[in-house]
Amino acid sequence: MDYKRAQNLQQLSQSSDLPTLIENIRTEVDYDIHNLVGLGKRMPIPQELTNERAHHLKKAIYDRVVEIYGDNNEERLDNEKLLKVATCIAEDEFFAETKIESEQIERVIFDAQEITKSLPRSMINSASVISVQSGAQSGA
Amino acid sequence: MGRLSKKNHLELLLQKANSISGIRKMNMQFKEERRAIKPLEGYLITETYWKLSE
Repeated sequence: MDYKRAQNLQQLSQSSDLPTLIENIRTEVDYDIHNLVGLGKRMPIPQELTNERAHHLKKAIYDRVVEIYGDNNEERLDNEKLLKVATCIAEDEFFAETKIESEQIERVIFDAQEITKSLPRSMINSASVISVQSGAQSGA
Repeated sequence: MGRLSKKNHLELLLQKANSISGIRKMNMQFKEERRAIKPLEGYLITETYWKLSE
């Protein structure tokens, strides 16, 4: 953001047609303001939370939700509420253990999916081949 | 006119920021309250935890 702002200021100081220039960078200025008032603020992601670990944690939380739900299914009438409460308990248990919020897990998975979507298909295919090959080697 | 609409735009942006920040704070407060309560007694969900979600 600092780099962008410096770049914008440099452009402004060199230009003779300010109104046009301002109109051209308006979106970026709006985005800067958007961030300055806190709208772009997002939960920080711990470095150790990789996509692989996020998937692993998500599955572990899901398994725990199923377990809690199963243990309490006969005791409670509202199944939808039971599912929500079981999810809260499972997420809290994993937070106590790992200090990682479920929102952080979801964000890591979402960001990785977005990156994969933006890659050309040929790159995804070759990455899958490399992944399969390395898996086969480590398994051998 | 242009300046006024820009001011309005900024005011709306600030209102939005305040409301999002408020929702985030409430969410964190709720989580802290929830985490202070014992969720399970053996395998079963405690009454206090169950009632908190109502």
